[in-house]
Amino acid sequence: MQTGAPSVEGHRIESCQFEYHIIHSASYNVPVLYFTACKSDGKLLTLEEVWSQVPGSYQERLRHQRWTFITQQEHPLLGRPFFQLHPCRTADLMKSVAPISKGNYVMTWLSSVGPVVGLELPLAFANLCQAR
Amino acid sequence: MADDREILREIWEGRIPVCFVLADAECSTENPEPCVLMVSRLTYITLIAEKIEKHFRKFTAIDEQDEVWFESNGQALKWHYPVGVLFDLHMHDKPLPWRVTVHFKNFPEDEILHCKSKEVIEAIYMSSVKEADILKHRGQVMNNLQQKDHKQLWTGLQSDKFDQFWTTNRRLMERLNNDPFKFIPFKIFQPDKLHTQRLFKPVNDEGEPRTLRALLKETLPDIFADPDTKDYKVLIHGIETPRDTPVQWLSEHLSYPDNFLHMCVLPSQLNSEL
Repeated sequence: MQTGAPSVEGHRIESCQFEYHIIHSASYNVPVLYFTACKSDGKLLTLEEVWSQVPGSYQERLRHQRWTFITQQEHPLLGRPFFQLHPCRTADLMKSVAPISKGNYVMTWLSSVGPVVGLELPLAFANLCQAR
Repeated sequence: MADDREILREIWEGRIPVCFVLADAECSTENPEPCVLMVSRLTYITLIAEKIEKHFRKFTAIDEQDEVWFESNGQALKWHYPVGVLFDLHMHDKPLPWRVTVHFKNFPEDEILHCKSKEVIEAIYMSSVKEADILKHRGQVMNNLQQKDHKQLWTGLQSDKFDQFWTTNRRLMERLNNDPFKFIPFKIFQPDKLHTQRLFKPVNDEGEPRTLRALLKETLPDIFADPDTKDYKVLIHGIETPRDTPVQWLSEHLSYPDNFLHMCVLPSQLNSEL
């Protein structure tokens, strides 16, 4: 899945291309969100740039848990560097939303964590999953 | 629980002679001296980068956006694997010292992870310890460790202090209620391939210990259809490990500091028979 997210740097607006992968972690038994992002010149976004794009409401948490939140890791199937949203709290998160969500597990999870790293899912997409 | 302290100690003291040389294209003076170090098998190569960078600074022009990286036999070294794994994978049976080329320019960011500070190494290391505990104890030990215990592990590894490291690591390697680990945290490395990681229980349904032989057969069925095949070697810390060793024992004694058992599977060298 790819989406463009604008990054504002001073007065210059630069467009970045994000690529997201969902991979099941056998150890944690949860889905894990991997992503990579490159600028128009093909250079990859640095970890610091990724952190700075995290929406304001998560910045407080990011300040305290910088290194257990998003880091660079080796993509388990491609062997290339990707950013990873840490899976260690996914099981707890899903337990806490389970009572209010009867829907598709992956959809519930992805719509909860995706916005942290620029992945906003349109409502129509969720409806489509629900309908199936 | 790991009680064979002598074995833990031997593993901890494993060293590899490494000769670091500056990439020819990056030399700004003639004949830069190589930097020769005895490097712990258990450490990460980027943890000693500072020392190496200091050594080569006078022979090359380094500017602010440059980032040090290492290469062996034309391949960028994946620093997030322990030094011992990289050595066994790239250099097993080759003459010593291990010649590693040092670069400051053209960081291959589509091949290896960036490492601009020691915090990056610490984060990768701690996430590995955490994942291993999920596999061994469903995360119960990590949940009970405090921030200062985490620091003790990391500082122990970073400053090569066996006792400090094992004070905390012993808790991570304990059997809870005397039960074997739930799963064995392991990774198998092969040259030019992605590493392999699977769920593997250390005991069978009857509660009998399972051996390395069973793990190999289940994880790499193509190579180990005959689990006693001599066509391949299985190395842990550079040691060819007997295949009838119980995996629980291997996990407790031969795991790297990140709590994973890292094994290298290499084709046996044909020329050794000539």
